[in-house]
Amino acid sequence: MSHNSSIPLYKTVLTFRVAWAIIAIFAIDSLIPLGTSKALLVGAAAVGVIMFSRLAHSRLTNVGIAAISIAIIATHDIAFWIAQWIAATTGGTGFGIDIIKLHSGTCLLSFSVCGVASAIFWRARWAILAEVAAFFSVAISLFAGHRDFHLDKPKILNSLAWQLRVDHVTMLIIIGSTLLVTGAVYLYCASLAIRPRSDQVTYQRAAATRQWITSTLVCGALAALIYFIQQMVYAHFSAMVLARAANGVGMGSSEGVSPLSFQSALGSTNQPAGLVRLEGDYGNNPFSPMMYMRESALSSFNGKEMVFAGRAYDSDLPLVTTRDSFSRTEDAELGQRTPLVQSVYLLADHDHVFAVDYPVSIVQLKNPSPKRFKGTYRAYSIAPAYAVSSLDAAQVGDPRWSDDIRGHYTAPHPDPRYTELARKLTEGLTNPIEKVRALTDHLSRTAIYTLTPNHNTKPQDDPVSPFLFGDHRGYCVHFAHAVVYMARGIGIPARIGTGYLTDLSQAKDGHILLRMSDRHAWAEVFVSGIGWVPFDVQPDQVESHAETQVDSKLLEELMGVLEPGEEILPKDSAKSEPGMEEPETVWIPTQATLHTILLSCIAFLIAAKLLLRNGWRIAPTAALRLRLGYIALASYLHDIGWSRRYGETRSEFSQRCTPAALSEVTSLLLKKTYGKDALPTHHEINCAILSGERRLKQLSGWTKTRAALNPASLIRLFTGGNW
Amino acid sequence: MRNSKFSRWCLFLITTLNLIATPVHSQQDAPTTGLNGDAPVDPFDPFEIPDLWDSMSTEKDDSKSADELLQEALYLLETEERLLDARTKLLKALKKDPQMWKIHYVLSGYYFSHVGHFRLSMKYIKRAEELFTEKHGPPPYRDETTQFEHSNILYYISQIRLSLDNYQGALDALDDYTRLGYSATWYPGSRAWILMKLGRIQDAIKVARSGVLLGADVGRTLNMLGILLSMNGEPQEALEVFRKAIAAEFSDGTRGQPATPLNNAGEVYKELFDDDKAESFFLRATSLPDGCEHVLPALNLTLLYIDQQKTDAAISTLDGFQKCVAQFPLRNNEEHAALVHLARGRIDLHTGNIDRAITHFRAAMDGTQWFGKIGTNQNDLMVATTISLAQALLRKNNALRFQVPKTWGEWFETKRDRVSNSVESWWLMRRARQLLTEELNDLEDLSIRNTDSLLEYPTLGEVLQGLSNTALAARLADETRRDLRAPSKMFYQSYLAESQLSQWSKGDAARILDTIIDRSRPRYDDLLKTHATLLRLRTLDPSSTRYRELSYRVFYTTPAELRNYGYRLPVRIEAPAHLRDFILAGPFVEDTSSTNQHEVCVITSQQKPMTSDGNVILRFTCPTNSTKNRIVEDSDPHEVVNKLSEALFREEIKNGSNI
Repeated sequence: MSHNSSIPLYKTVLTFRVAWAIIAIFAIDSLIPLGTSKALLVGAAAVGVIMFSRLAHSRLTNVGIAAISIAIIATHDIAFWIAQWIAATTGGTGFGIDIIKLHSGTCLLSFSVCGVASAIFWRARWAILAEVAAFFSVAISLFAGHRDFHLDKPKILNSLAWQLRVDHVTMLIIIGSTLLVTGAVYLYCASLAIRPRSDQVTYQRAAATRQWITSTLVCGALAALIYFIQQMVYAHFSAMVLARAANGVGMGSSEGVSPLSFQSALGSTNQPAGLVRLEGDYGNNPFSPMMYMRESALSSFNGKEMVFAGRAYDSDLPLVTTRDSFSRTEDAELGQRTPLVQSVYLLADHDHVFAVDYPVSIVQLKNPSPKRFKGTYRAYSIAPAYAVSSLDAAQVGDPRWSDDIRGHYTAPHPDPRYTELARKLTEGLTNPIEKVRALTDHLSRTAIYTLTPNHNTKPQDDPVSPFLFGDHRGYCVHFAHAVVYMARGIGIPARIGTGYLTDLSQAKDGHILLRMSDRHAWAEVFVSGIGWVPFDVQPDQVESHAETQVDSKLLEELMGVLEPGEEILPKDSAKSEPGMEEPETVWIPTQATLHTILLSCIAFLIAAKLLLRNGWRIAPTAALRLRLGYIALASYLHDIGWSRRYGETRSEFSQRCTPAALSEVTSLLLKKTYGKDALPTHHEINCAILSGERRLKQLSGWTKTRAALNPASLIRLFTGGNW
Repeated sequence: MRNSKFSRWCLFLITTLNLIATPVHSQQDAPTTGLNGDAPVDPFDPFEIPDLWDSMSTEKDDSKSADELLQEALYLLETEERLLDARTKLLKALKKDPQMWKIHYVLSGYYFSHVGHFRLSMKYIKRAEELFTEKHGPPPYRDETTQFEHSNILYYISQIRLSLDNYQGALDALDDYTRLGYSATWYPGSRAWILMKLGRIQDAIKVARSGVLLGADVGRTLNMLGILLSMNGEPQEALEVFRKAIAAEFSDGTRGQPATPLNNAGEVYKELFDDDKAESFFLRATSLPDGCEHVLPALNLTLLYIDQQKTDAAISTLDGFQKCVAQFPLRNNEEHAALVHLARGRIDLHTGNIDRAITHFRAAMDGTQWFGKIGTNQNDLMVATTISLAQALLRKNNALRFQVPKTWGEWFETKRDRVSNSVESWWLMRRARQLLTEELNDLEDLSIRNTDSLLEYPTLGEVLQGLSNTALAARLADETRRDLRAPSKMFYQSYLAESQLSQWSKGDAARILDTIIDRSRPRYDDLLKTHATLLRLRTLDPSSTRYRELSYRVFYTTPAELRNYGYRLPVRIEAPAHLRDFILAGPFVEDTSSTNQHEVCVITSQQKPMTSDGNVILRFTCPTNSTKNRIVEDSDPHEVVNKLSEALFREEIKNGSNI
């Protein structure tokens, strides 16, 4: 090292680099299992960083360093080649050496990457820029899974958001700003460090106390700025992003405005929306293994699209908030139905309750985990139990309807093309159910399911016609509208149902984990004597899949929260059994743990400072007492801004300092070091140190406070600086 | 290999635990739908699930005793298979009497057999054991009923531990069982299975043999013995035992599960390279009610068909399985999803649907798969999926290489994707080697068609070539010497050739590959033959006659593989110069040497390259195989070549992602 004062910075940068390597190894291992002990990899990385940093500060040329790296790799490979050759010639048929080679190869990779990167860092000025650019590129590409509103990517983001009980956008901002602050701190520290051979000029920026204070202040200010920006960004964008992320189907609806979005369904994420627990069997489910849970219905045409019509028409909907109760009498005219009880635990905000068609009662439930569930209720439904094939001969419409209601549900779209197409598709058919099937079958055959239809329509234009009379690219919202428009065009009472469509085969013990991607819109036709029946389009051509597997570990975790038996089972039941460990989760310290760590750190620093100032009092030997006494006084001076300069002797320093607290101790120290006399006695040493302390005590109260609070002496102590 | 009787046994135990009662109420009591007018007693009580429409009784559950509720639940479980209704009743019973061990016991059985929530099942059974001990004191017990009940608890504990992969714990529970002097017909089979999982094959065989001699649950024990003999390298003996097991299971009537030994016998035939018999046994297994709903017979049959390059048969087998499983909407797909994704992915990969294959493989890697009931394990699945994903990424790169970019942006994206695919596939191959050598007992799966292995043996050489050449050669020589099955030699030779190719020993490799191409079994080892042919192409000059002959051989049978492996198809081009450049940037190489015009296919552009609507038309015609003729059209010359490439080298198959 060319300069003593840069040692602390050098060590700080090394520490940063090793820390980065550790973080990188753990991060990579969580994404792709590395298969080799992380301790070994971290060790190899640390050795690489230290060894190549030393080489970078040696007289070796860049070519020399490169040659050493190549030699290490070559030696590794040759050693294994020889070992394999020996094993083969001695008749060995195992792959033991290959196994060792695979592990050592991974370690060598860790060693080489970290080492070579460190060497380049020390030798090249552009390295910091390249490293920062690489770091942010990786971070951005890793966390940019959300760029198409896939807020659940990467998986770790999902896990963290779930565990911290925050939404994905908040989690993303937390991670992003943490990375930014850490990167900025690193960049600042790294830019302070010396560059041993760049331009053949050794330059340094002194690590004086003032600079440490400045560094701390700059970092603090930067962190505060980033936090401020983060708050601004979050406040500005979160509402919009979360609205997009909600897939636009049935979320955030208000009277008279369609809750559906025609532009994009890219918000179809794996984000949990709710948990439904079936309290009884639903063996007669006509849509098995799928199950429809309706939240709302759209039956009024506002000149552009279907919207909610109000309670006057769709009276079968509960339309109560998730905090209200609801009750109605069973419709005796509707048959082929079976009772079904569902307990619903909401994991995301919902405006209205949803349940299997049609609910007769909604009651509030005890919330087993208020921190986790945003609402809980139990729905009693009279669920469909008909066979789909039994509908073939059925009639549509309700004889009890007034002309107004009938007219409401059969009002055709003003664009005659819908009616014309419907007539064409149902030509020759007489039964209304057959006609609806013909419409859905046509769309199933011709439509292309895509999350990004990208129809360039103006806000006032019909958003369905570019789909139906254009490229046939769309998703559930387009399909449902198209079926309803066509059905009404041929006099069939129809509306759009919105809510969730879930796959029961992904359920466990009747527990269904609903995700945002399960939100759905479908066409419904009123079948006489049965009620509103879904007629859904199932496109043969699928361009993009929103379909993902349910997170079974999360489902099991939630089942554990809901399972009534768990309240009765002792907490330590079967705890000692192997295999009972809960699914692995990302460790997040609790608030109490964080407080403990913080308090422990503060206590440690106070103890260290007390020891620094008073350690001399308990020193057993005179020599040690003298040395520690000098350090005690020098550290005090360091905290109030007096430090030894480069090349300055202790004697010169003691003379320069005001107050002259060090003069007596320095003279004793020099006498002990260079003199031929016997060591000063304990009494002489005590007198000298106490005399210095007396001088320091005469300083102003502000200066003494600074001396007590300034961590500069501790930083110098831990970074191995000289006094 | 499969031992699928666990769930049946558990249900059987529930019913034989002196708990089963005659139906308390009959179905005629089923009330009409609707509320009875009473409000829920306490809506904030999670146990308070209303029985407003209870079909068991007009009487409310609240007025019933815990024992009555338990009896009703058992009736619902056993007779009506109304699982959720039964669960609700059990939980109500538990609330009424939390100290009743039998409720905990049945709940444990419910979560074990019907839900597959093993941790919760373990909690209930441990609590049941505690309560049982509180009630009856510590074992041994003198009373026969108490002994029987306690023995069943121990059995459950062993089975749940087995499902939680705690094999030693499972054995300990059975040791307690023996120590207390209990006996049951299921015991030898269960003990043998656990011993097998612990790798103590010889001990397991002894236990199974003694079980057979004692006549204990003959079908199951024989099946177990067959599995063990097969693992012990005694396939003929194993087949003999399986035959007896099949007969025993069929004689058991509706309780029998003949699909299990049928599937296991099929696996042995597959291992013996008797593919016809293996296929017939798997087909019989899948056609039986107990076989159609379990994944292994369908999976084995699919993998066999993939080896034989019978894509349509493989797809319909998986479709059949999934249709069968769809009958059970409450069955959790963790029993099979990962395995089905693996098989679907391989089909997609071999038919050129690479993106979908990659999606399937990633889903297989991320998905949860239970292994308690099947002989294979997490490592087998992980290594197979890792290799398949690595291969898919390499194939994807090859396909990208032939994609003609339209813009600089597209060119850059393609390059970036190729780099990232290369790095990922390199790492996955490396990881697969590590798993194969470290986790799978020093590459024990190298023995071709090793039971329970999910590896794709014809293409395994791709991963093995990364191992040290000397060690691999020595090991292959050893395997060839020890393995007496003639068809397996071709596989070992293929691995050796691939290893030599990676060491630039083209001459030696070519000789071996020619032998494999000529001598591998037609109809059965078609995938191996295709793989060897494609490896052979690596040693040839694309302008040579041999290259043309072999590439067309592959193109006419499995066209997707040619592009998958990164080879160009020799064609004659009749198009203007500017279009010719685009065509040559795709997966085609111009054949100028051919004197016989019928040997190669021809790409012709429209007489006038631009049609009236501005589109470019390319016509691909094969004089000797008109089924390969294609016409594509696009306004963009880049895109028209890409379209032709897709039309020729990707087979349209039904999307099988609905798992």
